[in-house]
Amino acid sequence: MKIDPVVKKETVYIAVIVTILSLLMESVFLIIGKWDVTVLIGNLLGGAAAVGNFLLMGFTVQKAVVAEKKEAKSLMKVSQTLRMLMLFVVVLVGYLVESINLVAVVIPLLFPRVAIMLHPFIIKEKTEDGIK
Amino acid sequence: MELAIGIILGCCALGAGIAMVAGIGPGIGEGNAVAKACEAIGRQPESKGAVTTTMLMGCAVAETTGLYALVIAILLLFVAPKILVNILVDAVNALK
Repeated sequence: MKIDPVVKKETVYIAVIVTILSLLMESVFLIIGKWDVTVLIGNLLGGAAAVGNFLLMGFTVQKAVVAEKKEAKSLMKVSQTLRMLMLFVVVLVGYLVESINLVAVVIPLLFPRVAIMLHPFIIKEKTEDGIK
Repeated sequence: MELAIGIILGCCALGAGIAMVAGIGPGIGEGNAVAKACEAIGRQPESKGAVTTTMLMGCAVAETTGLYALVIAILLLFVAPKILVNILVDAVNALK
């Protein structure tokens, strides 16, 4: 399936912000003296899950906007449930595997929300009449 | 003692289940948003890009609520029982 340019653009934006915030989180762990390799592995897992979750949502939205209204609704509901299960499994892995820090898995999952909050300040799109 | 531990574990599991009720909302909300976006794109096909961007961001924001619920549920399932049982054991030992 071909990725819609809009989905691609937004996913890249989310991935960049998640990477920056992950580096920030790593440095905070380093400063408070709690950094070890489990934090790094957890951060990689959590960050990948956050970006993957957004990408999968993008794919679903891309598919849903060209579908019928009812079909689009059910498609989003099913997708949301499955993605939530995926995140549950990711966090479960973070809890069960000794070499992964649970906190470092959970925190990056919330980074896309921060990225969206920062979106209007970082990406300024022009409207039809040219006013930002 | 066993009864108290059982109550703690049961309440944690119940709390996790109740927390996950919040996971239902984003699904319904996202479904409605996409349905309305379909209508909007149907009316104005040239605005597909702008509508998709706005909707994608809106869906991601809506999804965060579910994520918070998931995190709370996971903490209640895996982290809270250990801490609460330890507190109980310490309290019982202190009484003895």
